[in-house]
Amino acid sequence: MNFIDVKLLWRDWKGGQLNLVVSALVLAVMVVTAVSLFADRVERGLNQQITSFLASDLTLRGGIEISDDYRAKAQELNLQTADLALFRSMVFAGDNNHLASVKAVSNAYPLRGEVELSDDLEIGKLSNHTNGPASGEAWVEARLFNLLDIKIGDKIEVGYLKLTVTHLIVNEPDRGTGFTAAGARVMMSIDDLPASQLVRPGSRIGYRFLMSGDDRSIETYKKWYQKREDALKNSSELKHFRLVTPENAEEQLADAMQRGRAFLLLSGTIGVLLAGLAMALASQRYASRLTDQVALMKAWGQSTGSIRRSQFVRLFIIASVSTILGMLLGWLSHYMLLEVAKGVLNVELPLPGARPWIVAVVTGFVCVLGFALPALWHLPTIEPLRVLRRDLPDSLLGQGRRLAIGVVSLLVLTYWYSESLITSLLFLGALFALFAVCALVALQFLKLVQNLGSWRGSFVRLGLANLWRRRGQTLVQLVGFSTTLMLLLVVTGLRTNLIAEWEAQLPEDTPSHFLYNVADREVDAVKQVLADSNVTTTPWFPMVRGRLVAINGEAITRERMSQSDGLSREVNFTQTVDLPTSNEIVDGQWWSSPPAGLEFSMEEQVATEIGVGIGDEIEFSVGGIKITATLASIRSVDWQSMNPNFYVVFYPGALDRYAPNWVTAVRAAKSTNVNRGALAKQAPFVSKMVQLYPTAVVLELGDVIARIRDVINRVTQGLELILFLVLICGALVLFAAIGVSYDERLRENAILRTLGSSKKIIIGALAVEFAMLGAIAGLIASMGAEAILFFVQKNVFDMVAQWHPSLWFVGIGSGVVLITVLGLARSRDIITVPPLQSLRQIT
Amino acid sequence: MTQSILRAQGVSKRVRTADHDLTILDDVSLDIKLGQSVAIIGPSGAGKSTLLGLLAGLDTPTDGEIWMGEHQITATNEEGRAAIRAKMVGFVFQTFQLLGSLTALENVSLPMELSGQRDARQRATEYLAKVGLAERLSHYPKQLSGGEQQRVALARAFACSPKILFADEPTGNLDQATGLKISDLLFDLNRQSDTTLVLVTHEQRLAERCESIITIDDGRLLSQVTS
Repeated sequence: MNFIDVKLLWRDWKGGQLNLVVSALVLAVMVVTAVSLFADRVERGLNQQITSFLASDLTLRGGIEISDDYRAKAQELNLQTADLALFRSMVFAGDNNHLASVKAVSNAYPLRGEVELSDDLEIGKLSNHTNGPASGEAWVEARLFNLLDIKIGDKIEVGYLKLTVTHLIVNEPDRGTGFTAAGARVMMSIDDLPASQLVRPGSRIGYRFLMSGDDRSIETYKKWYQKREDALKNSSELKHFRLVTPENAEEQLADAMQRGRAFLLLSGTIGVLLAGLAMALASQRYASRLTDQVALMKAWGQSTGSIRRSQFVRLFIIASVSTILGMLLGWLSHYMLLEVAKGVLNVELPLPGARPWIVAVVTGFVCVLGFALPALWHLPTIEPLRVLRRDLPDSLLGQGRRLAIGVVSLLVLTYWYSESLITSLLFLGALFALFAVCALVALQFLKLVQNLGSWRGSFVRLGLANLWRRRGQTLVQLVGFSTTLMLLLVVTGLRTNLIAEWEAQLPEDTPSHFLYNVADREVDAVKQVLADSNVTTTPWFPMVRGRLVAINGEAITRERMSQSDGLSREVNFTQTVDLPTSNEIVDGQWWSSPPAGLEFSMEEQVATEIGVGIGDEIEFSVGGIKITATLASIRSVDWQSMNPNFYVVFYPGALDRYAPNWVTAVRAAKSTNVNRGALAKQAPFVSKMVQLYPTAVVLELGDVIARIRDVINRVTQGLELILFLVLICGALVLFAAIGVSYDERLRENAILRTLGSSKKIIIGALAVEFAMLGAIAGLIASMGAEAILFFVQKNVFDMVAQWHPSLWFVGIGSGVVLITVLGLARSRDIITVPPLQSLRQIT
Repeated sequence: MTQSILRAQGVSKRVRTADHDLTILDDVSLDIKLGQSVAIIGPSGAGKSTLLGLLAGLDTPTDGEIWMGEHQITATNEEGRAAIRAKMVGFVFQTFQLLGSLTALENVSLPMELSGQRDARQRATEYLAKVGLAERLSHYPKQLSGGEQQRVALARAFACSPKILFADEPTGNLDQATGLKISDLLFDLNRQSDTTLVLVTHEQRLAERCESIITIDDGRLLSQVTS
């Protein structure tokens, strides 16, 4: 490396010529580093958990009790086994209750790993156990102590059973995927389960059969399972169980994480794109500054080759230094993302691997090659004669070619981020379409403004005329700023307005609580409790869980299953004579008299997805027992009604033999939101209900909404952080675009001042120009954001769309303030440098 | 007889415009001896700067041959001409062409550093002292007056010890008094270094200080008068 290259580069940096190129590059790398470090560490944390995720070598999972043949095979192979049952249930202590995640385990649990326990809420001495709780004991998660106001030795009620809390659970090997949206953990002995009366047919319970043993036996079991699976495909027997191995558990998680990482990186790509745009503009200006230098060097006898080498050395240094700096800042900012995600994630985060760093380095260098180099490429070929004749044209790569190189670079990066060509093409396509729409709208506004300028005062006219005269640059600035601002407004709007608006639009008679898991024999008594408490109920529905298995005698294939959410999992069935409120028949007829055979009604969307029509014979499985019925009607369902709704409704009698549980929605007087969880503050009927019928579950709508709001808050806050960095990239585009016309502005303003214009007029014209630019950018951003929010309101939340005046105020206001301040700051030399000096500087 | 350092034979330069060919130089032949000082004069648009560019190897003629020492620069490509320029040529421009981001010392030492000369900074310091700017080594061009900037440019040109110095209107951007001082300095340094000087100028007084005056008009060489 030639020391002169470093020296010249250093001088260019000190002279401020590289500020924008470097800042844009640093920002692009910073955004990408922060996002990929965050994704990588979370992914690693979750993956690490998987190694002990199963608490066994193999786990068989099912929604019904594990059948004997699976147990028998394990026994035959001398595998160690343990049983688990997982479900949600209310637990009580005195007047307090909590909807907990209960895990009933056999004594052999865990087969792999250990349960870490403590006896002290504060620091506590940890003890490791390779067995589950004894009968009559409960081990609980620390947060339950606060929720129920209990301590070690106290009793808690789980169903009809009283258990003594003997230990605090610090860690359990099969804790799950790390997301702790569910209730606090209560671990009990599986032997106590019958006494609790929590398990009934149709209860939503996850069964696990854990196995461990030597490698050969494990392999043999896997092969046996696979054979059985294959046989099941060709038989009419139902598939109720799934074998989970550490490998396939990891595969699923890897899939989900890959999608998450790609999504985050694609949001970061908008930052890279804007930073790239700023780099390209700034590089063009840098190139024009270097032209004389290169011509001079060539006149002194430097060859094209040596100048090309020098160019690469300089770009390499710029790319390396900026990338390192971007990586450092990215490392710091990923902690902010982790802080935001803290409440949702509950995993130990290991140090990141090499990939995020490689992503950062590749991003840095691809940006330089794709955005900076094309603008500088022609420099070595500049003719030495330029030292005498400055009017010689330079051979700057055509705008179209530079644009093509930039787009290809972006495509390379997005493809690498998302690992899918389709995704990257769609993403870039959508982004450029958004840009094109913004540019079109912006152009219309500019035309409007141009006319406006013709009748305003002198500096106003001057400022507005500038916008139209440099409309190319103006459009670049507008598009860069308005799209970023738009996305920020959408994300902020989602976080601040949408949930509240949705909640406010819920009808007056929206239920406040849902009651489910009420046993057949308890229904009348529970109705009485509710009536005594003056609580209005909606109709009661019996409910069983089951799945669709065949259509017109043809078994449903996996491919077909994946087409519909209603097919791919177990769903709730009910039976009723009356058409539920908020349901409407769209095809066929609701029963006016008892049908001759078994008949049912299906929800419209599922029927469309699986392609069934009136008269089709569908086979269902409820707890392994098959039931065949004819489709009699298709219903549209208003899922927003907050009433119990069902995909499948049978005519009464069809489900009687499956011992259904009952569900209803009730409307109680509003409870205070203060100190939720304390029974005294809850609706009075809740305390009666949970004390008298401990196996029933009462879910408060407010809690559900609070949980949704919490998740949306965290996700949008994370996105806001990324978009804030993207907004800075937008500001750099503004700076760079002003830079392109800088000399021209300097000359014009010098001439104006020489001709007697006051400084005030120059500042006024600039302020009008930037304020109008900001107003248009803000207006476009607000229009776009309102349109997107309108779409989300209508299609996602299914609510009456509302205007958001605050969004327009913030959008236009922030556009005007930001762009005016930044624009004037960037143009301060144009205002302050004396005209003679300006003119001399240019010549 | 003194040996030729720069020789042009039947040199023409034509450029194609939108509708016709424009002849800028037409059949120019000249011979410049080693150590000679030559002024090229003529009215604006006569083709003076074009001739200077061709003689310096910065451009190629449409017809004719140019020899710089023993090198026929018209028979080689740009890379070959660059190598010859690196060995033999220095420049002084009307607009000084100093790099704004470098100090006076760095501006002077840069071409020497580029050619790999080890004592570049020392020589640059010496030459800046010779032009009377010993106290302004660390000043940037914008901190110097026009005359001072041209003195830096002269130091830069002579410090490289070129065999031929091409000067394009070296006093064109300066007032009369400063211009006079600069031309004194130019001829002093030229004498001390025994460099061949080829300068393009409008100024008769400056031209008359040269040993030979070439007059061109409308692309044609009208006369070459040697005193």
